[in-house]
Amino acid sequence: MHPALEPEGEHVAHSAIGSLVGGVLVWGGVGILLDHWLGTGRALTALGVVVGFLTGFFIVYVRFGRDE
Amino acid sequence: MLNIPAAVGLLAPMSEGEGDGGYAPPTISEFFPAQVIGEATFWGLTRIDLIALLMTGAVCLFFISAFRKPSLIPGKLQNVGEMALDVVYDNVIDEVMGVKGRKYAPLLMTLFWLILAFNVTGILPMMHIAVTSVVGVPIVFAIASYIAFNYAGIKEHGVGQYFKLNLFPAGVPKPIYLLVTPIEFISTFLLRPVTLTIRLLANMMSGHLLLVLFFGATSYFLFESSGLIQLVAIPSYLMGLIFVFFEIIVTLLQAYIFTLLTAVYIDGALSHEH
Repeated sequence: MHPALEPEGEHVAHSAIGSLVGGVLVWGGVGILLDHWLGTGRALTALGVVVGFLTGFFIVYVRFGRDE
Repeated sequence: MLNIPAAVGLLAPMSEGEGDGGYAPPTISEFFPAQVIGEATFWGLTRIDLIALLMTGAVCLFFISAFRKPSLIPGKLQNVGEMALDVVYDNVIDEVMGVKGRKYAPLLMTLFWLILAFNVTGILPMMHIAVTSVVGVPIVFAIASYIAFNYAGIKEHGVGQYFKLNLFPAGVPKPIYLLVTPIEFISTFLLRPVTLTIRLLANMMSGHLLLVLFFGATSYFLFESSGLIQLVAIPSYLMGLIFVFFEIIVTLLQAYIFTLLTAVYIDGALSHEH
């Protein structure tokens, strides 16, 4: 017999990693572009990485952390 | 027309960097061999292409002959064929998706067994290069996986709802979507196929380079150096041997991970809460 297993664990891990990495890449990337454009050194890159990381965490919390 | 030494890879590691008699470590050119059939034509095939065709034929032949005349009491070949399918059913489909995943069995079976066949050529005698270590191959598998999970999601929810579920997770204050949506777009629709491709490609490339490095060094120490330094061939050979066993594991693991992730992505696309 093949039971219909609840697959949540696997799923959560991969989505969570995607959002965390994606967050840093997207907003860190935007930071790099803005730094180049505005000539602000590394300031906006740093800000972007932090904002992206926090937003990634927030997404993981919203998607998977709430009802538990 | 067929360049046989090139086709069986006899010229591969030794052909470049020689002349000064020094050791020539493997380079990335390993993965761009010369065409051995139909040179300089648009359909020209390299020896890696030939291996790909051979392995595709072998996988097709195996499954077709195993299930050509299926019977309730399976014969030997059908038995082996069913075991091959059960590997994917038990470890990927039922594990990740449950019964609803059986619909996607044909795709997942094909992915697992074809990727495995393409990986295993990296350690098979006479072939010695994984077909999946040429970037075009993992890209095609990743595109198949990408189309499959997006198709599954769109079919289940409809286009609008599918993108809404993925890009606008419920329970987020509206202004925050400005931060969240680009991340979700990149991580779901761009990073997934890219990471699938790179994970498989990099694993198979590095495995091949390691093997060529150790066995190339063994041959160099044994045949081109003299005195005590020749003894270095022994540990070099042993390291090569260890990495052959390591590659057997990597071969299986990478085929499994690729199939598992595809199943996870399809399951995620079907799920109603994102």
